[in-house]
Amino acid sequence: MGLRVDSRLRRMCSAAVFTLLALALSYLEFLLPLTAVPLPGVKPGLANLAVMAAFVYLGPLPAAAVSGVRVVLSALLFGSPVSFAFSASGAVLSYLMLWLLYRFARDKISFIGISVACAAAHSLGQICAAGIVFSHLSVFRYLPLLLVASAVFGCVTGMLMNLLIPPLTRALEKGGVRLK
Amino acid sequence: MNQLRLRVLDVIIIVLVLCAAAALFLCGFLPRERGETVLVESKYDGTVAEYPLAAEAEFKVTGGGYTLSVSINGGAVCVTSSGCPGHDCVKQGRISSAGECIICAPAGIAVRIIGQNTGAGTDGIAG
Repeated sequence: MGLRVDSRLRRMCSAAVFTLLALALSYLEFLLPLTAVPLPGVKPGLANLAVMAAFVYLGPLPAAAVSGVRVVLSALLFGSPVSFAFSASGAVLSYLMLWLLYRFARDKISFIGISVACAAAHSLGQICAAGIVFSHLSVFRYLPLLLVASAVFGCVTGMLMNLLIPPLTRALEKGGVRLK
Repeated sequence: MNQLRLRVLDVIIIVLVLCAAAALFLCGFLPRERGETVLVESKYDGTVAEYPLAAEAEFKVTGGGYTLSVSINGGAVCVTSSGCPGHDCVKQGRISSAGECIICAPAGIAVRIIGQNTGAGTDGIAG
């Protein structure tokens, strides 16, 4: 008698794998040396790959869980209360952008556009959090730099997503997880 | 799958983001007030130091378990070294105009410059 695995269990395990992947990518960015990205506050945003993949394969709620757990664990493992506030507000805006674009423009946009928009939303969320935490608006002076970085790194993660989706689809379908 | 090919909406989004960045960048060229005072604020302890921008000073400030070295010289201020993980505060370089600030998120510290007219309304700290 073959082992029959419930599809909910498969999806839960997949969500756990995506969360682990997001956390590992966050940690990789944390380890990047000072010279890797010599611009203040700029990070490649690789963890968004795992959140987008979770959204595509598992749906909005598991993707929100992946993003939320990633933010909390990152703050606990290698962050601080203030960096948690920055990261959480960025992640919320980024997720809302992902949900909106995937819900209403799914057939008119590629992962490159989604990724750039999510990165820009993440930057805006972080800057808003900084403005609230430190109670002044001068932090918005960094927004142009962060938006340009969002366009560049968003394109990179979007292209990576385009490359990763076909093999990931095959691997997950082999494991019994179908595209949402 | 539809999401794998570059679409018109992708290009529109990229152009919009870059246009927003350019517009905000140009706003940064508006005349700025000359900086007068350096405020070092901690999210945890409130204002921890205040120096005239014309002063020559080097000092250390600690927050969230990380220590930052701050240097004021030549009418500008910068964070010269930091124990924080990302070193974003060090990367921000020297600032000299009123309204500019250097933020270290892990340490919860903001180094900002105020001018004669900006001091009164902006010196609060949330929390």
